[in-house]
Amino acid sequence: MTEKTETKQSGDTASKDGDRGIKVIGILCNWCSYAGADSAGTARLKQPVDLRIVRTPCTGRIDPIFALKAFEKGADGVLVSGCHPGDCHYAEGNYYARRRLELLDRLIPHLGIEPERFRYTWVSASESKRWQEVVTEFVGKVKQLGPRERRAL
Amino acid sequence: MKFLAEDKLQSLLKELANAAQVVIPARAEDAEGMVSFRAWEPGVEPELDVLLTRQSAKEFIFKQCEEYLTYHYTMEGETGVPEEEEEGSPGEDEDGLEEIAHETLRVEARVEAPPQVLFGLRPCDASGLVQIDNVFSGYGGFYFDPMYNARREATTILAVACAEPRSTCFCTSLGGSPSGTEGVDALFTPVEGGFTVEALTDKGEELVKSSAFVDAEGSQEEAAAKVKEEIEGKVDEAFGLEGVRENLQANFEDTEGWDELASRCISCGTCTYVCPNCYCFNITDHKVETSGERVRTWDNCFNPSYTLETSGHNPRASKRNRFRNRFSHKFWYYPEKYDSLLCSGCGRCITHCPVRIDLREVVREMGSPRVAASGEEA
Amino acid sequence: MSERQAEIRELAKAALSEGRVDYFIGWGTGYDNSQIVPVFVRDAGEVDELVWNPLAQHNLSVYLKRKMPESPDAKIGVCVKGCDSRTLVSLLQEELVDPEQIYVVGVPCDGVINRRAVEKEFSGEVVDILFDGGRVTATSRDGESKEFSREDLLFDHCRSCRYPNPLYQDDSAGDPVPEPEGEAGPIWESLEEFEALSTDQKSARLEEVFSTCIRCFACIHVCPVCYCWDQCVCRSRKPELVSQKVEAKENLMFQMIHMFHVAGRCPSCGACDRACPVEIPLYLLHRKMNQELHDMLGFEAGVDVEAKPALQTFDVEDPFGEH
Repeated sequence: MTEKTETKQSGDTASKDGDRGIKVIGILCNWCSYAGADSAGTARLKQPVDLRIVRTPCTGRIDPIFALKAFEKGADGVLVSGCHPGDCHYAEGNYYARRRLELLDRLIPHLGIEPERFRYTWVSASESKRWQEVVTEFVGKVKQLGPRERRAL
Repeated sequence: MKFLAEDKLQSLLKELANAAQVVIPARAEDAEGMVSFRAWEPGVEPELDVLLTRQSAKEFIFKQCEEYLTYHYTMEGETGVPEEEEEGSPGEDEDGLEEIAHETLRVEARVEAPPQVLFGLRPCDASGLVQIDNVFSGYGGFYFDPMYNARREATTILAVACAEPRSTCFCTSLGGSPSGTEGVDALFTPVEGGFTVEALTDKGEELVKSSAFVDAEGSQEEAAAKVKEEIEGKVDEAFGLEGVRENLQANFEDTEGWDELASRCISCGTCTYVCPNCYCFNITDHKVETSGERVRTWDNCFNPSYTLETSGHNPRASKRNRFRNRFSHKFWYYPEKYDSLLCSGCGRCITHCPVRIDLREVVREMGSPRVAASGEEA
Repeated sequence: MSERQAEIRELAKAALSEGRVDYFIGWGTGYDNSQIVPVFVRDAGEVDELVWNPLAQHNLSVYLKRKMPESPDAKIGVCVKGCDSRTLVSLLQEELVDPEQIYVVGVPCDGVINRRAVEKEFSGEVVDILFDGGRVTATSRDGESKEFSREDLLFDHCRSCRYPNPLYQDDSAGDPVPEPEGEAGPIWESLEEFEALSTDQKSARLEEVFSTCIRCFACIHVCPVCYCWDQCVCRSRKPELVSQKVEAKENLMFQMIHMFHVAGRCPSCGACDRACPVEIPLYLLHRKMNQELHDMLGFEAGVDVEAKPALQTFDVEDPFGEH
C-alpha cells in the first residue's frame, strides 16, 4: 500500500496543522548512548524533538531487522548509537553490532531507502555535546529529504 | 450450443469488463513469461496454449488474505458515534457480568464481493472450487461463510476445455474430465476458428445472450464432441480409486512406508498454495493501539506449527506425520465428510513441488494394501 | 558425466553395504526423464537410482539441517556439488552437523542448467531432456524437439562459479574439474540493472516483485542454513515482526529477516531462487548481501571449516563505523 505524503521542509517542531512532521527513531544502548542522551537533556542542550528513542541493553542486541521494521512502520530515519568499540559495557557486544550495522548500512540504499536516512554511530555517556551534534545533523538531513514515501518497506 | 469466433474474444472480454472485473490467464511481462491469472486489460490475449497457470484461480474467491472485520475500542467521552449505535454499550452482558463501563467496542464487517468473470479456467480449477464450496457453503448443515459465498455469487466461471493434457494430469482417475462441467457456468471448447460454448447455469445463459456469440453449426458441434472424446483417452491413468480410503486407514501406522515417501519433502507448503482444492486457513487479529482488523489467510498443513497448540504440544511435530496428513485429508478424511475427493487431478502440486513429490505415487503406494515390514524379505 | 554417475553409484554402494550410512542421498529421475529429484537410497541394491547430469540442481545439504535427518542418530551419506558443500561447511562451522555422522561424496560440477528456461521454449510440456557433450535436446509431449547448447542454459550463478569442486568431502566422485582462472574472490554477475535504478525506482521494483510472493516458504525450507523452523522470529506473535497478511511489505520484511539471519552463512547457492514457484528474483537480495560482506571483510561463506560465519564473530580491528 502506498501512502502519499508531501515533502516537507519545516522547522524543528514535530507537527502542526495536521501536516505530518518527520519521525526519526533512535535505537540506543542503555549504558553509553542513552546515558549520553540523558545528560544532553539534563544539560538542556537544544536538539530537534523529532527523535524518539528506543533503549536496548547493548547495540549487540540490535538485529538489523529492527531498523527495517522501523522504516516499514513509518519511520523517516533511523539512528543507532552505542558505546565506542572497545568500551562496550558488556565487553564485546558492539563489536558484533559493528559488523551487522555496517552490513545494514550498505544494504539500506539497495532496499530503496536513501542512505542519509540511516546512520550508526558511537556516543559515550559523557559526550552530551556530541550527542546534540549528532542528532541535530542527522535529523536535519532527514528533514531535508522530508517524510519518506513508503512502499514495500 | 453457441459459437464464439476467435476474433470475437477480445470484444467479448471488453463487454464483460463493463460490468465486472475480468480475469484471464496471461503471461507476465517479467518473470520471463510466467503464465498466471491476472486482470484483463484491453488488448491482452488470454494465454490458452499453455495448459495450466502457475496458481489456481481459488484466490479470486477464497482470498489469500481477507481482512473481513475491523474493530475499534473507544473510551467513554470520545467524540464519534452516538451511543445507541455502538455495540456492547456499558451495562450487563448476557452472563450478568458487569462490563467495563468506560470502554466500548465497535465492530464492522467488511465483505468485498465485486462482480468478476474468470475466463480461461480449466475444468480441474472449477471442480476445485466446488470442493471448497462444500466447506464454506453450508454443506451438510456445517458452516456457511458470508465472505466466501458473497464472492462466489458474484463470480462467473468460464472454463475452457483442454485439448492436450500434461503428463501430470490425472483428472480422469478421479472421475473428472478435461471437458468437465462441475462448477462451470459456461464451457468453451476449442475448435477451428474459435470455441463452441455451452451455457450450463443461469449465469451461463445470461452470458451467451451477448451478440459476440452465434449459434453453433452442426459441424462445429461435431468437432467439439470429437475434441472431448479424443482428449479423454490422452489423460494417463494414475491410479484406481477403489479401496484407497480403506487402505490409507490400514496403512496409517506404516511409518516406514510414509517415511520413504516423505524423505525428500522439505515441508514447505507450495503444494497447498497452488492447489485448487486446499482450503485450510488461519485467523489472526492485528491491532495497533485501539483499532484492529481480523484477517483470514491461507494456512498450510506442512507448516511445522500447523498443529502447534497453546500448551506447546504439537501432534504433528514430524514432517512425516504432516505429509501423511495431507494425502489422508484429500483421499480419506474429506471424502468421509463431504462424499467427494479433495483433489482435481490438475497436477500443479507435482510440477511446482521443489523436489517433485508425486501425489500419484503416494496414492498408489499408500492407497494399496501393503505388506507389513516384518513380512518382507531383507 | 556418466563417469561421475558411475563413481557416485560405486561410492554409495560401498557406503551402504558396509553399513557406514543408514541412507544415501543423491539425485535421481523423477516422474519423467526431464525431472531430476533428490533420492534417498537405503539399500546397496538400489544405487542405480542415482543419476548425475546437469539437471541435478538441488542442494542436498538441506537434508542435514535441524529436524531434517530422519532420526537424530542416523548416519547419512550425501552428494554435494561445490556450492552445496559451502552450505554444508556453514553448518559445520556452527557445529550443527556432526562430521562423524555424515559421509560426504563431493561431486565436481560443470554447472547446472535452468530447466525453467527450457520449459519456456515450448508451449507443450517438456517430458524428456537428454545430454550429449555440450548439447542438450529437449522433447515435448507432443513430439516437438529442440536442441540447445548447454552453455546457453546454465544458471547465472554457475557461469560465475568460483568453487566448482567441493570444499568439504570424504570422497570425490571422480577427478576435479579445472579451477576457474582469473582473479581470486567471487565474481558477482551484475546486479547492474537493479543497481542503476534510483532509490525510488528500487523501492517500487521491490514492491512489485514482492507483491507476487505467495508466502509458501519454499525458499525458507529449501535453504540449508535456515533452520529455526517453528522457532523462527517470523512466527512470533508477541512481538510481531511479520503479520499473517500476505502483501508486498510483509513479504519483503519476511524475506529481509531471512536474509539478515542467514548473512555470513549463505553462499548464494541459488536453491531459493530455483525453488520459488512464482520466480521471485531473490538473488537481488542475497547476491548483494554477499557482495557487501566480501567487500567489508573479504569474507566468503562456507569456504573454510575452521572459520566462523562472519556475523558470528568479530575482529577488534574491524575498520568500519565512525571512529
